[in-house]
Amino acid sequence: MREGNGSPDNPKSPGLSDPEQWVDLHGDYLFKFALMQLRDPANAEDAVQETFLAALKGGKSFSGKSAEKSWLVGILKNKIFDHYRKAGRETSFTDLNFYADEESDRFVADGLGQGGWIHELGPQEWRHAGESLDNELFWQAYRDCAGKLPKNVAAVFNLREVDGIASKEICEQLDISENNLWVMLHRARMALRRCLETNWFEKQK
Amino acid sequence: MKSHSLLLNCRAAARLQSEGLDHPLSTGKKIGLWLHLLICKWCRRYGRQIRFLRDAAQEQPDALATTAKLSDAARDRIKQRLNREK
Repeated sequence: MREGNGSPDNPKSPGLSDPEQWVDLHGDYLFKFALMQLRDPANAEDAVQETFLAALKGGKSFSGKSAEKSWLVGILKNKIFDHYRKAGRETSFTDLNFYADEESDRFVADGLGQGGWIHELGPQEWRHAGESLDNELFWQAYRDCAGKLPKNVAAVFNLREVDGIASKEICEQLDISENNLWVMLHRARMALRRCLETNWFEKQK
Repeated sequence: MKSHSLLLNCRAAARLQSEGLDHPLSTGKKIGLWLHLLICKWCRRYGRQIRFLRDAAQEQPDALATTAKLSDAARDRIKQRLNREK
C-alpha cells in the first residue's frame, strides 16, 4: 500500500494513495471518453480498467483533480490506440469493400459533365442545421449513421473528428499511410453526410 | 478520374474539400478548388455540410455526456481489481 502521496498543495486530494477514489472521481468521464471511441461498453470498461491499472504503476501525484484527470485521459488514449492496433492486425485498416463505394452513382458517369454531381442526387439544402444540434433525435440519428461505418473507418473518423488528433499521429500510431487515412476520412464524411441527409435533414420541414 | 491542370470536377472537389480538413492543400490544388467552388453551388454545399459534421462530431461528447455512465457492476469490478494490485 503506497503511503501518503497526496500533494502538499492539497492534502485532501486522494492522489495515488486511494485508487478506489479514482474510480469514483474519474471513472464515468473516462468511460464516456472510451465509449465514444470504442463504441462498445465492454471494450470501454476494459480500457478504463487498464488505464487505472497502468496509472497505479505510474506512481505520480498531482496538485489537483483536473491535472489528475488529464493524466488519466492521456493513459486512456494510449490504451485506445493499443486496442485499435490490435484490431487492425485482425482486420485490415484499409477496408476494401468500403473503399469501393465513393458514391459513384451520384456523379455523372461519362460525357461532357463527367464527374459532376447529378443534380437531383447532389447535396440538398439542410434547413435549420444549427438547431438540430439541440435535438436529441438528431444525435440519435447521428449515432445510428456513425454506427453504419465499418469499424476501422469509424475508429479513424472518431480519432480525427471527435478527438482532433493530428493526421500524422494517427498514421504513426496505427501504421497506415497518410493517403490511406485521407481516403478513409473522405469516405467516412461522404457516407455520414449522405446518411444524415436521407435520414434526418430531408425529413425536417 | 481525369483532371486537367486546374479544372476539377465535383468528385475531385469533394475529395479535396475533405483533405483540406486534414492537411494543407498545395497552392495548385487550392486554386483549382477555389475556382470550382466559385461556380458550383453543389460543392459549396458539400463543403459546408462536412464542416458542419465536424463541428457536430466535436460537440458530440457533450451530447453523450447525459447518458453514458460506468455501471455499478463495472465500477465494483474495477475497484476490486485495483485493490488486488495495491
